[in-house]
Amino acid sequence: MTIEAPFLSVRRLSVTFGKAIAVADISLDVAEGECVAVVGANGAGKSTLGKAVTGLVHVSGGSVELTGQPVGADAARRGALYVPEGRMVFPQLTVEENLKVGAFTQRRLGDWRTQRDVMYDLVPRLAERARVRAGLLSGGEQQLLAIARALMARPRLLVLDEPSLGLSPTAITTVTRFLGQLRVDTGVTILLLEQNTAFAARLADRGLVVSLGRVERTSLTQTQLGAISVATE
Amino acid sequence: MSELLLTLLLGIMQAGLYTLVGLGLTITFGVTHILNFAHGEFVTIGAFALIGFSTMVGTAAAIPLALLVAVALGALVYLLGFVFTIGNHLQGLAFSLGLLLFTENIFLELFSSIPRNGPRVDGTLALLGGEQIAWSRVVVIITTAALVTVAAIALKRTWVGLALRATGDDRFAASTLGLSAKRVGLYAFLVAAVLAAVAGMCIASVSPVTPAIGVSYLLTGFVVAIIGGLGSPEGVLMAALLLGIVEALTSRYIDPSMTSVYTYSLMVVVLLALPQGLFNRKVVRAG
Repeated sequence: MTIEAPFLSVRRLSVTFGKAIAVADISLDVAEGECVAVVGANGAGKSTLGKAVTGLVHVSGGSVELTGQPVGADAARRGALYVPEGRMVFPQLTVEENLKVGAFTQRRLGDWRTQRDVMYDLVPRLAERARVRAGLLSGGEQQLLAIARALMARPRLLVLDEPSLGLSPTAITTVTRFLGQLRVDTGVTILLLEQNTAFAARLADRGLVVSLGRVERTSLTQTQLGAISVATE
Repeated sequence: MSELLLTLLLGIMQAGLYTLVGLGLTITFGVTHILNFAHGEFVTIGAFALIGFSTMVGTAAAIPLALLVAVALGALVYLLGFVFTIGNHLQGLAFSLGLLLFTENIFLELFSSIPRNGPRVDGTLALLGGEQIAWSRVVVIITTAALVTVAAIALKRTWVGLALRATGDDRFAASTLGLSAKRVGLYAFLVAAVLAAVAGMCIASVSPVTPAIGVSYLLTGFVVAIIGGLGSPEGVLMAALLLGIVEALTSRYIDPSMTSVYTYSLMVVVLLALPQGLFNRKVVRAG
């Protein structure tokens, strides 16, 4: 029997901004194909954790490894993609151009249009609005676009930061269905950072709770996830 | 009639030069949020590199050599300076001002303030109705128009163009997709240096130049970049056409010595009506 390195392994991770400690000593493992939810209130350190996992902030201690290899600033190239909170589509670029930017790291590895067509099949709504400026889309459409844009880089790990934030209940249902379908179709691994525990429970296989930069509870089941509340204390 | 045509052509020529300078300013600002006061120095570099090389190796070889010098110096000031100021717009501003003063004096020392002429295309073209326009001016109009078209298409269609627009739109979102602000900033500075150097080469081939052209084109570059709405390439083109043509018409038909009064009044009027500039759809966030 061989001991395999876990797909994503975060060990004793710390991130500080000056004197402020955003993430203190967090460890977690995610298996390939799994969807793990990290839930916590505003300011619990979820976003910073997500950015550290995808090499977007400087780590002050501990390690992040993807299939046994340390992840740094080249995370996007290596297939760990962060989808920012608040969607952050490129408002003045068209939907299609937004998708093309997502394929930037893959530009020498094949025609980006192939992957674009896969996205259009997955989200026909985006195909209909291909030539529309992304800033004119609805919140739900922008969230789908932000996720599809990250998928253009053919990620192995997708870090979703509050995908339900500021969306209408209908839009949340659309996003949930899309992500569910995505897991079935592609088997992509997801680290879901959420405040909305009901939403997290519908998607994630298991979860953990963070508070003030530390892990407070581990290995919550789907049912437990749905039952707790992490609203700002 | 013919006089009007000639005046309009001269306006369009000026507009092409302003567009090339303004485009670089607006692209570097959009991507790095640095207002580069030293940008005009690339106009000077282009002009004097062309003049210097053309006496040594002939005009045909001087053009690519001058571009190479501009690219090398653009990379140098970015990699040794501006790259460290990304995310801190006051530092970027201070560094670019320092660089401006430094290069201004270096160039005065190197090239002196005696006006010099670059290579000329001889002869004139007769316009309908009897006026004559120098061929060198026609060449400048064609060159700038072609380069502006190429730049517009490249911004739309190439990966580098897409990277520049995406980073200008949202720097953080771009970084999550593997577009590092530092690397895209380098693209921006190189593109800006080339465009400004071509403008400088064009200027040297139609009129005598001194090292002071850098600053004078920097000012007009700022005017068109700001009227256009900082960060908007379409805006630069529209503003440059407006400015170039108003300048040409007023100096021909009203009073040549009052040209800058008219053009800067125009800028004030446009900015009073549209504080964000002609084409800006979003609020510019400095920093």
